[in-house]
Amino acid sequence: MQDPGSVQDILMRMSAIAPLTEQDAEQLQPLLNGVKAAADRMASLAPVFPGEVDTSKLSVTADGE
Amino acid sequence: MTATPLHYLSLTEQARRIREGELSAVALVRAYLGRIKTHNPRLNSYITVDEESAVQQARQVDDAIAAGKTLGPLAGVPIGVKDSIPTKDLRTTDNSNLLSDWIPEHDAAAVARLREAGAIIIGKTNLNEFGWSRPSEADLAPPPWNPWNPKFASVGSSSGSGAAASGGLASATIGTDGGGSIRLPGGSHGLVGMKPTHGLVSRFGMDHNSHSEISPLTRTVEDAALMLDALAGFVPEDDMSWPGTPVSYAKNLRSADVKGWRIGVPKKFVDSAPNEPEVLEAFEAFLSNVEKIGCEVVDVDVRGLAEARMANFLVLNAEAYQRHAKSVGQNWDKYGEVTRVYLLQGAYLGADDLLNAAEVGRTVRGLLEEEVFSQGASGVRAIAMPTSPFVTAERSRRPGEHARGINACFTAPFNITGHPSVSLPSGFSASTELPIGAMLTGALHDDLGLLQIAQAHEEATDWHEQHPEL
Repeated sequence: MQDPGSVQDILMRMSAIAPLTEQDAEQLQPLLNGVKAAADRMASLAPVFPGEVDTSKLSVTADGE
Repeated sequence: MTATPLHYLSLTEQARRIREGELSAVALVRAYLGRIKTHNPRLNSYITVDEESAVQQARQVDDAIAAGKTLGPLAGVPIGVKDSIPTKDLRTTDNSNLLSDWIPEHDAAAVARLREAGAIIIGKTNLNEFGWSRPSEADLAPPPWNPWNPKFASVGSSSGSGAAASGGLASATIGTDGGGSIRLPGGSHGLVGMKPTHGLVSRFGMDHNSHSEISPLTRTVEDAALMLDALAGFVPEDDMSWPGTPVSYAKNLRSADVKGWRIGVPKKFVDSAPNEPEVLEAFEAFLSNVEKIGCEVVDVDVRGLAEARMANFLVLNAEAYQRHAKSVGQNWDKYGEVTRVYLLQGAYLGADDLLNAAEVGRTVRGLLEEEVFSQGASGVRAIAMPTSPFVTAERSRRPGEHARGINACFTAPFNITGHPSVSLPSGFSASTELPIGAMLTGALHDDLGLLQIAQAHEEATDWHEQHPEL
């Protein structure tokens, strides 16, 4: 997933989809950062073909440690 | 001992009395309509009440019984349906201004099955707009309040279903659980919230969310079993519907002795969550009761639950965005201010992100089946965890944590893995007077085993016999 960047970056990209305000973009930024962190975690677990997910890399805590 | 009032009798007992002519369906429907009229203005548990049709349906049940006809197991009991689940000829709003006048032409398959079993659809229950985000006073219907202490909001997203079932405004309700939206309100309303195995209950006829399950919220375990009997079954039009034949959950509820069954607690995982002290106290009480009924509580290592939670929310985000992508721009002002921003979360996700999430979900599903629920190494029959780290909806919505789904850290992993999971009453918070839930999760298609443990647990407690005084 692409880095959402700054509030202005988000505003510029999302304005093509919906008439959101700068305040909306400020709300959206931390949500997108959370989505990006989750997507990055998934990408880090994705195996090299033809391998499988390395289960030893999976976390044991609620926060993903 | 004070007799349980009609509105708090179990659905099972109400159905029996109607079937045996001790209670008329019209009287039961009128009792609930009266309570809705009195309490809904404060609780906001219903968005739409189908008064006229409910009485008419009840009259048909009473006439059929008088004529000696054999009716379904839910004949005459009024059920509230989450307002995201389409109901034929009955307004279905998703609590959105966008759908304020939508009257579906068809029932969702689950609603049709309830009607076939004789249930009366009394109304449509409140929810977070589109079952998403955080509720606000600007939504089509204002947020529901918890009948146990109406100073606190009802936990969602099936919040109105939780409030209606616990407040005695329906015999039972149904909702949907895409990350915990049945189990979390189940826990905070002192109800049984049973998310069945993926595909056991068809979602045909409603918005397509891969890991969201239509699920019952009931006051007893037996009621959950009876509801599941009606809801479960193959629907050929649904490509995700399980093609097997379900057992009768209600008939087999007491057919097994759970003594000696092993219940695994992933202690490291549970202890790492930001649990409130009262949640941990209730969880300890739950585990003590599980031991009291003869189960063996053991430590178990479970890996990947946090990743499964993340994967689940990535899929939910992408699906929500895909569903609304064209509409959100055109109808920006009709969406709730919080909902429309939440919907845009999925806009940045690509196919590789989704496929990675699906692969991680499959991996964790396999790990659970092979390393936890199999009869091999640990061989546990169910995993026990708190339902939520938090007691109140208000605490659950702390922005930083909510965005990461921490409030759903125990529930959401089992949506993408598809495992059956049930929240059960496990005590009360002294500081808020709200109930607290504990959760059991079982192997795929061991919904019956899970309900059997839940039934034994319930028989050894009186939490299910306590009801809010409104």
